[in-house]
Amino acid sequence: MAETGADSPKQPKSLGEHTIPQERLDVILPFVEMLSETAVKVGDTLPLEADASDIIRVLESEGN
Amino acid sequence: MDLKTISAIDLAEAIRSKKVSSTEAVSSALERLKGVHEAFNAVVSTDAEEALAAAKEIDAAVAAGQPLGPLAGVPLAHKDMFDRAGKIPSWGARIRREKPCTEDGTLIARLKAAGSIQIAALHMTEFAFGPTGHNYVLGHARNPYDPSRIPGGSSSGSAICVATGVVPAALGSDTAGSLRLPAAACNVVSLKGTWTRVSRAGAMPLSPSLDCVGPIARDVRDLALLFGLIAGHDPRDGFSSRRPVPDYLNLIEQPIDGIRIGVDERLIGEAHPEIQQRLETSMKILEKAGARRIAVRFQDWKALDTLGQLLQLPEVASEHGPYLRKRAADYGPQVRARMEFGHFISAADHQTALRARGTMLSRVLTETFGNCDMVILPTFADPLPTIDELDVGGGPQLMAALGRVILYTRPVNYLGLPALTLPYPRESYLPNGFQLVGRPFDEARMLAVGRAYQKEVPGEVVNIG
Repeated sequence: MAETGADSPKQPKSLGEHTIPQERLDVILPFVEMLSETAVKVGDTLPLEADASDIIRVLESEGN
Repeated sequence: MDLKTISAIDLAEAIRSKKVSSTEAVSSALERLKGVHEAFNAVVSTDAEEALAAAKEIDAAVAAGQPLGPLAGVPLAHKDMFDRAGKIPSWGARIRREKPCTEDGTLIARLKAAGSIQIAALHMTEFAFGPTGHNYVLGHARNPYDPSRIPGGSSSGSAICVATGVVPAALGSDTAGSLRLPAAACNVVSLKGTWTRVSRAGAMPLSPSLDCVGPIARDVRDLALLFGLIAGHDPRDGFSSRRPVPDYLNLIEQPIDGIRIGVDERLIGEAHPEIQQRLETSMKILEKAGARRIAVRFQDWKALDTLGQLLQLPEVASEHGPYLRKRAADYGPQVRARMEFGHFISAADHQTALRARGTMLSRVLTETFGNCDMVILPTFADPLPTIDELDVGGGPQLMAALGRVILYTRPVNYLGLPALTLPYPRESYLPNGFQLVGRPFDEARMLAVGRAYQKEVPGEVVNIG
């Protein structure tokens, strides 16, 4: 039986008492890895000054 | 007068001119609501007594010649995610507020001030976290055109009640497609405004970076009226834009001659052949109405979708962390499984997705919208699936199955752009629809295009016998 429960090193602390069975972890972890690869690729193209508030600025400045 | 098919605008006029009373309109809507709920599981709770009392007040105001709001006496019903004083919204879930709300959410208050009367709180996907209408707590909602099929979600009850003529319009929300998908599935229209155009104060939060609230209706003119009433800055929502709100209804008959609609053949080519064919039919109708077709390309659609997930999943995980930690068994299997993903996404990746938003939007506005005014896209990638086909619970197919459903909608939330959903001509098909994605704050022009389209493809009420 695969490793499960709060003792698993793969269980984030933010889940507290809720434990995810290994078969679900086997789905979640590769999926999140795939998302992360895109974040890294996109992040490499961003200027240092890119900021979360840019979206508001662009919406307002480009708005009709 | 057919109270089932009448628009909100025409019903308000009929009440003002004493052709029908608000009491008659509300009573009739409450009567239809029962049958619709029994057939399609569209309602969470009704407000019959309060609604009829409010209708009597409106009728008295009409009789006394008092000034009336633009929706005076018109029955509406809304997704059960809005704060209402003295009530506990269900959020489509077992986990709810412990105490009743102390005040109305901003949109509820604005529509009430316009004279509308809420008759019911409507079915929604659990916590608005799902695009199909499946709900393992309330039971699944059903499509009024074919009860074996999904009605779309998460604003399922809103679309069902509008499609079946219970009410002319209803509020819903859209974090990844939740106004557009049910509108398309139920053959009605919806408008997801530019992110920040409409206050979210008093609306259940899901993923605040993406959440939008907006109307569903049968008539684009009703969308324009409701959108004008709910849009605009709200001190209770610090993100809400301070831009003046145009008179959408007054602008809706503006000519659309020469409006340039972008068509991304490659992206549309990812849809089922039937969807591609139906979208082409609608595009030809728009061209006949005066629009021009322009070839465009979204360079980074898949990346936009991934970035949307990097916002949505951890934000949902954070909102629900306290409950998932202690009351995981109270969630349905699908929502619980999707919530788990966000706990594995790093803060760095979430922040990258946030920081990239302005850059990605600028790029899309330059590259894709550089030569066009709006872009046409499918709403669903496929013909409507059955409820059983998408009953994947929390299983391994979950993300792929739902990802396909929101293929064309979630990136639009990431970009913060407005999107108007319109139905394809039904012909012999089940309902489905397309979206017009516009430039920031261009809702008035999009509604004008929608109005021109509806002159060729009018709204209808489904006959449920």
